[in-house]
Amino acid sequence: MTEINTDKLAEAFVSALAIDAAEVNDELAYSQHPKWDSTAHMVLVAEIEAAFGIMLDTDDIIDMSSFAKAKEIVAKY
Amino acid sequence: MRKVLTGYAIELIPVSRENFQLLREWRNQDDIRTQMGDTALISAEQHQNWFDKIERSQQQLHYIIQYKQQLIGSINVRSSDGLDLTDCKLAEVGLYIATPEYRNNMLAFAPSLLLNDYLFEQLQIIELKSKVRSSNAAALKYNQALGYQLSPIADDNEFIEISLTADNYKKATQMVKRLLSRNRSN
Repeated sequence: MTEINTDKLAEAFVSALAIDAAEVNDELAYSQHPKWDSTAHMVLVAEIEAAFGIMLDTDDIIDMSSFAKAKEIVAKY
Repeated sequence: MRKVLTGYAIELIPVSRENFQLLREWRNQDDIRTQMGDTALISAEQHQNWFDKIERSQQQLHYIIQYKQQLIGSINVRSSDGLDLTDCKLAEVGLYIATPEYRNNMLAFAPSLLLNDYLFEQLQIIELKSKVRSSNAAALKYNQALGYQLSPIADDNEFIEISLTADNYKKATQMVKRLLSRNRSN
């Protein structure tokens, strides 16, 4: 698994979910944070893809249920 | 009509004699039962009678949702105008995700997208209409994301009526359809 730029990933979360950087940690999870809903998730996918120049597969879009999981997924690409 | 539907990373498997008992287990889970119109526990006898009634019905279809070989919930459609589904114009869709990890997840949209495509495009149904508990904020938000319009019901604070036309559905779901229709990684 390759190292990823965690700061860049965190910036994508801050921008897509419209949250403070301090809220971005491994425990940040889909639908447990009031701002991470299905609409925000779609924006998040777009932000991550633009930031890292990748295109996520459907199973990874489904699996990306936390910031910790997002780090694992982005590292695969 | 009773065939497996495939798309958006999932399969919808018609309920059969081989798998229908699973529905009773799920339906009687407290977290699912308490969101139903009828919140009573279903007995084995009631469930068998229900299955005998729907097994060959032309007015309703019931499916089990499968994702990566795992059975995760159920979705169904019933005619609301007394006609067979092949002829009806108004129908009602019901859904529950039994596996908690997929309840608050993009995957929860897949069964609705797959069934609604079939209903609007193949069966030419005009409108889907059903009732949701007013207290079930997650379900209301979920259905709004699919394009459903919400309407209060006179003299009924417990439920809200939701309705969906093909046009509203199409407009609301373009992005989520694209995300759930990409290549599969595993």
